[in-house]
Amino acid sequence: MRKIFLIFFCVFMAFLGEFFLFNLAGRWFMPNLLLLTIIYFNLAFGIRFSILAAVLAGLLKDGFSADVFGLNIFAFVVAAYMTTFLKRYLHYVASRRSRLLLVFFVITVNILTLSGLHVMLEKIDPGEIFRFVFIPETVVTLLVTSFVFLQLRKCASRLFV
Amino acid sequence: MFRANRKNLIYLLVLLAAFFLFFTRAKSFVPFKFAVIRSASLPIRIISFPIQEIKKILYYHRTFNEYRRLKEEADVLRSRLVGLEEVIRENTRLENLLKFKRDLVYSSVVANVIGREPSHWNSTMIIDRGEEDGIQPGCPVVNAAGVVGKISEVSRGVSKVILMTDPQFSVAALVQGPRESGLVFGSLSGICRMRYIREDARIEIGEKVITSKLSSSFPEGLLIGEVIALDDPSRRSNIECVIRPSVEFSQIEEVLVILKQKP
Repeated sequence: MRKIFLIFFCVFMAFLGEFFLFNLAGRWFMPNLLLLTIIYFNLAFGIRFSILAAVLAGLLKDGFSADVFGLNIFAFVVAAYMTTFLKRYLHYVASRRSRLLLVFFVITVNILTLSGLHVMLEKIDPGEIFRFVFIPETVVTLLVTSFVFLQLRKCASRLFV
Repeated sequence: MFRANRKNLIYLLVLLAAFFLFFTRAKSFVPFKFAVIRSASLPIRIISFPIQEIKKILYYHRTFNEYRRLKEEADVLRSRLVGLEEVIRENTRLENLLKFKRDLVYSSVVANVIGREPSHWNSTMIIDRGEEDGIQPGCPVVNAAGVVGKISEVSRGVSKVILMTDPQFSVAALVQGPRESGLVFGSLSGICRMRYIREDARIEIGEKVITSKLSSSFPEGLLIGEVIALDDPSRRSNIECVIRPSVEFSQIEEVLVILKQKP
């Protein structure tokens, strides 16, 4: 139950963090904190809790979005599954480089999923997706990955000590 | 063995449920979306307040320069108004003479911006007015600088606005100088594109783009932005313009929602 409470809290705080950074500094300073939370819970607690985090994060994103409901839930759930799959091959405990590599691949999968879904709904130029979604999101998210994981670990350890 | 399979089955069901949610595209989820917004609205309103205050400090010089420019402009316009009043009176008299009626008066609602959706994919914002104030999906949203967007979803006291820079947005438009018409679309880059312009149209960079009377939802003559580039027409059958919106979306605090035209 404490884990579930922690996931609710962290996902909500991640959403508020994204909201704050986006509204203050714009799209070039908004890391995908929700995706980082999903990846962290997958690495720390396993796929069950990662899926819960993905559904909650998707609900929040879809609630505020004008897009079709379920788009972000689906993309985040796929990201949670892909983290479980990719961590077998890419992630080594206490290796910062492998963690960043894992995050990079999960972001790529997430953007590819969302691109596929968006292309079905509206006309979007793939070049624009690369320049205005992939590059800013990947760069900013990778820059804050270590900091976010450290904060999440502190948060989790305080609750479980 | 059975337990492990059951777990896998549950995981698969979650994925399928999310997939199903997306493909149903049901309108019935709209109240649920607004329930999510309502449940998160208090912390978001609390966060929005310092954001606006910080922005006011950051943009102080820009705002002050803008204030000086507008003040000078207001003085010039005030002096011109004296002469125009006489023209307006004459125009009204002639219109009455011709029994000509024009729909120039719109009822509108002023709304405060709660915040913008944090997303790389969409340009959406949430405003604090809804169905109770007469707002309906499709209502145009404007401010003093020009077109902001249109209402996409409405609940009792909150609405979502699709901004002009969203890829889902489109509006019939006119290049003011040469009177060439086309359709303005949003894009992921934060600027707009005007498509379906005649191949032999003569458009110059810097020309203003306004809403056209062909638009079903927007009143005619609202400023959209200005042409900043023309795409190579040799690659396609018609010209495409790149348009910089006249509205600075990151600084919007209040907007005007146009409800409907009065006859």
